Order: sequence, then C-alpha cells, then structure tokens
Amino acid sequence: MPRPASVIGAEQAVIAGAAETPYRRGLVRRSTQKLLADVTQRVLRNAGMKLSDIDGLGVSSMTLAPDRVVDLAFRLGLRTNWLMEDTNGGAATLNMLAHARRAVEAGDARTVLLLAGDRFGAEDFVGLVDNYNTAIRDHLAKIPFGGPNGLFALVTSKHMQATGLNREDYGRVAIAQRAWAAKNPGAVYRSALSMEDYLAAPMVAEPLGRYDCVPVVNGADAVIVTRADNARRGRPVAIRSLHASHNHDLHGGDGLSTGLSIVADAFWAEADAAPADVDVVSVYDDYPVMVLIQLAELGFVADDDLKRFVRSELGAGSPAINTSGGQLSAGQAGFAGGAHGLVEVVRQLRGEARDRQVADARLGLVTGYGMTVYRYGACANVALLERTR
Amino acid sequence: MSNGLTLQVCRSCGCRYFPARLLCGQCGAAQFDAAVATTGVLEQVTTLHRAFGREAAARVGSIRVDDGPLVIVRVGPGCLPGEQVDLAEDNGVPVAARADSQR
Repeated sequence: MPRPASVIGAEQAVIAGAAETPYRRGLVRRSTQKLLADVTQRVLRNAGMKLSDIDGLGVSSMTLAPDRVVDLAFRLGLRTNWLMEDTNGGAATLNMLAHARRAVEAGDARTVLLLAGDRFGAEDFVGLVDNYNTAIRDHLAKIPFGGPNGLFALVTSKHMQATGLNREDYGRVAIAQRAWAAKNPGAVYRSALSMEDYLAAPMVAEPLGRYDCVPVVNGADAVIVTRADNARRGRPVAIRSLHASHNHDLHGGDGLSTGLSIVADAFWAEADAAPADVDVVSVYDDYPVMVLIQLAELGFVADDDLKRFVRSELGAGSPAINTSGGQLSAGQAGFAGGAHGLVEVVRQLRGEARDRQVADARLGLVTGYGMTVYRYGACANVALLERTR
Repeated sequence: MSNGLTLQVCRSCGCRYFPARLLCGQCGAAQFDAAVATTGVLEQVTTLHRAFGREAAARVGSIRVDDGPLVIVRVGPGCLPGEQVDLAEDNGVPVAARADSQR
C-alpha cells in the first residue's frame, strides 16, 4: 500500500536533472574532460537550466589528471562558490550527493552540478588497477591478482559456499538485467542472454565468466542538485534518506557483508518506508554476487531465502531492479559507475525512462559500493529518492 | 623468496594485521611488532584465465593465516582448498606452498 508523498519544503534540496552520455567500448577520441563537458550540456538541457545557474561543482573521475576540479570549472566556464572532488569510485556520487544536499540546504550553494566520468583504454586500465592503492601495489599486483575480477571470484566462491547458490543463480542476475538492457539504447550489451550463452561464455576467473564482469566503457553521468523552489524542467526528485558506512568491518571480514548491513535500519527509519514500498532499484552491480548481498542487507530478500529470491522474484519486476541493464549490461565508465544507477533511478522517477519506464514509479532506491582497499570493497551507501509531483 | 609471512602485531592489544596498518583499529595504538606466520588454511582458489587481454595462468587464493587475518596469496602447485599450506613471501607477495606434511 503506497504511503502518501512527503511534503517538500521550498528550501529542501532536490535532484532537478540527470543525464548520461552514450557509453562506448574501446578507445574513443574524446578526452575525459570532453565527456564531462558533453554530459554537462546534456544535464543542463534536462534540467532546463543554463551554465550560469550553476554555482557548485563536484566531480568523480580517475582519469582527470593533471586537471583537478577547479581546472574543470575553469574549462567549463563555471563560476562556483562550492567545489568538491570525490575519488571513492562506486560510492563517490552518493557521497557527493550527501554533501551537495547539505550545501544547498545550508545555503552554501544554490545549484550544484555533480559529474562523474572516465575515458580509458585497456592498457590504461591495467596500470590503474595495479596501482589502485598501497596494499594492492605492494601485495597484490605482482601475484598477479587479476584485478577486481580475481578478488571477486574469491568472494563469489565464498558466497556460493555460504549460501548454496550455484553458477546459474548468479547468471540469473546477469540475464534479468540483460532483459532490461534490450530497452536501453545506451547499453553496450543489448542482445538477449540465455542461460546457455551465460554458461558457455569464456571463463575469466572461476567461478566468474565473461558476463559476471562489467564491460569497461567510456562515458559520463551527471545530476543537478538545487532547492526545490529552484527546480525548472521535469519532476523534482526528493532525497528521502541517505546513509553511508565505510570500512565497516575494518576489513576483517570475508567480503560477504557491506556497510549497508550497519545502516539499513536507520536508513529505512529515516525514509519512513519499507522495501515493499519501493518501485525501482539501482543496486551497484560490479558483480552479481554484490547485487544479491546488498539486496539481502536492505531487506529485499524475504526470510533471507536467497535461492527463492534469485530463482523466482529477482526478474519479476517488483521492485524493478537495475532497469538500465546495470553496469553488467550498460557498461562501467570508471567512476561514472557510481553515478549510473542514480541517473537511471532519477530518470525513472521523472518519467523519462522511455521504453523501459516503470509505470507510476514513485519511490526509487540507489546503492553505491566499491573501493577495494585490499580484498573487497570498503565503501557503501544508499539513498531513497521520491518523485515530488 | 623468504619463508613465512610477516604480520603486524599490535603491541598493546595483540591484534594481527596484513597488510600493514598505520594505527590499530581495535585500540588505536601506533606501535606494532613483527611476527612471522608460517602456516594457514587455504580457503578459496581461482585461476585467472584472462587478465585484461593477457593470458595469465596464475592461481590466486585466500588464506586464513593461523591465528591471523585472511590474506590473498599466489597459490603454488598442488595446493588444494581446505588444506593447511605453508606461507612464504616473494618480494612482498604472499605465497602459498604445499605444506611439508602433505608432500
């Protein structure tokens, strides 16, 4: 039974626009900066705003060097009162959203543009992966460890052992998301994926095959955060609850839990909502195993019966999960991966998701996850968003 | 290649860490001693088939160091999940080798 929409005050921060460049595989000519400029123009059009309306800028990118956020402001022609740069990958954009929301509500900025994007080739990627942090550079790169694929292969096999799920179960995640991707012209994998295709795909690192791993793409995402009374074009989207927990277990665990397990109760209490109220979900999907872990931690898996959930409920559409196809089908544009799910949920709540629009989507949930500090991701956050009219 | 894997042991509470921390997350202390762990139990193993386009035959695993942390290792020949293995260190890289007792 849907609860009544919360009342939005004029001074409350809302998301007033969202955009994404098409995602492209392989080397593209355009620099990271050009991708970010492209998505800036797209999000301004979506929000019905001009460049001069923006007075705050946040960015998340791992390929912006030698530029920093102020260089980006300079090159985009932005005068700002507020700047931030967040390098926390899959959790960066929800982190920036948390800061931007407070800045707007406190009056430090009126309208904040949040950008995330990356452009790189396969050879850049190896260098980035091997030098991701001190622990990886010193203790993993020379194993060699296979990047996140190697580590999440170990997490997935541990999860199989703990839950009794089999390869087909993780395949069901990829297959369900691919069905959505067929309706997303921006996704790089769009053709239907059968269980036979999934199982026959080349192995990457047992038990992970090709379709358990995100295709690396070039692209950028953006949202605009402003006061409710300043939103222009389209439905403003309110932030009903936003919580984060990073390094929740001091990295002493086995990767089968995230910080969401710590904040889930407080998150739902602040939202004054329950999983059954949610219409659309973007759960951070670097690997199918993390989709299942996060959904379970947030209470979407009744009786913790993961087998039943994955075999009969996951693809049933209530709630609709990873409706862009997720990163597993649409692609992961570096740190834009942390913004992709947010842009998709905002599009759904604004009624702008075209062929894949979820009917009457009112409440949407987004998670962020990532930053492998050693064995698994240390960052986690979650937001509940609501359309306001 | 040296025998054993060097862990950090918190001087005030005894927590054991790998890789090195700056402060102990349990008690906040900054002083650590070194301890060499020689064995552990191999938990999960994977074989890297493709690593961003290059062929890599390496096996990677996770080891529960005896009385210590879970560590990612290069897995040597003949090591099986669930078995006790010997630990070594190759230029900072933890390595699991078939335990003497299993050979």
